[in-house]
Amino acid sequence: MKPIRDQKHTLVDLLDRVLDRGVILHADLIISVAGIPLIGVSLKAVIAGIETMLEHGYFNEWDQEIREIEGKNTA
Amino acid sequence: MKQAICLYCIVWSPNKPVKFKAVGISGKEVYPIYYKDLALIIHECKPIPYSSKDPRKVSEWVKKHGQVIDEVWDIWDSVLPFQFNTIIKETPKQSAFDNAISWLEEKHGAIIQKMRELSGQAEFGVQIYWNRQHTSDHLIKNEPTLLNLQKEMATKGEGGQFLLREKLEVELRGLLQKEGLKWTDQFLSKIKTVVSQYRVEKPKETGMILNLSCLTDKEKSRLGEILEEIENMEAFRVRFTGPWPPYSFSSLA
Repeated sequence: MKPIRDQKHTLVDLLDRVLDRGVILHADLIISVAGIPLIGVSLKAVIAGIETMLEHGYFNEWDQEIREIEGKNTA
Repeated sequence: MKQAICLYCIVWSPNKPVKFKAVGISGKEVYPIYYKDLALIIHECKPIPYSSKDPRKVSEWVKKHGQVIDEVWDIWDSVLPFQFNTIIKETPKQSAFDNAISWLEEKHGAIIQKMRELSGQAEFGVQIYWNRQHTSDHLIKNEPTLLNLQKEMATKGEGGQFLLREKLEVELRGLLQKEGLKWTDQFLSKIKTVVSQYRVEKPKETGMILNLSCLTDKEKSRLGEILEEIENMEAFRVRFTGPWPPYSFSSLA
């Protein structure tokens, strides 16, 4: 059996991986990682990925900073 | 110089310098910055995370992030991908570039160890779906306990039949649960023999009984053969994706 990798059939797999996995840097160097308060998208897979990250607590430290930046941008 | 840099991946290139150029998210120029035998693939950006309410836009960014990493991975075997939207900022004492280099310096040993561990390997997604109805039909026709209950039902009146039907359904549910666990264990045991690492993910859809991220040889793995055996079983269907850069196996110590 051969694996598939075409974009049409594997977008959800890509979203899962790119949003939810990969190397994670130490928080104090980072602006944000896919900030949940900002990306209000309806794309199911995007949200699913973000939910998983929330479950792992990745956003807890950065959430406040993300909100502050967004506040400044929209002010 | 911009105040921040957006990261795509880390490259390990011990024998030659990393020369790479690509078009990244929002048309940005993507290029490497170096520390010893490592390079970070980056683009310069504002110190603001990428965000949009438009799923198509987010999806395009994510696709581009993945595409750049794929392009790098086509050239270098040893690549560690970053999560989308990993943006290093400047701090009061250091520029974003210097912060990135300091991080590479600090993590150099762990990164090299991880690169060696992942060398020549790729990630594959495996999802196995179970047609419960197929197994259920088979059990009803072949399982002695269920056959006896069906025979008994034929001798009873309406009330008795109702109670026995309930009992039959409970028995069937229990048997199906056991079957599901049996198959999951069996498939996982087989898959384990041909992969170097695996991660069990949450099943995402109805009918999915096994959702795995597997790390195995990029070119010569036997994973496809094992999955084909499963695919050929009537009650199961397999989805096999990849090769992916090792997104699920890149976390550093």
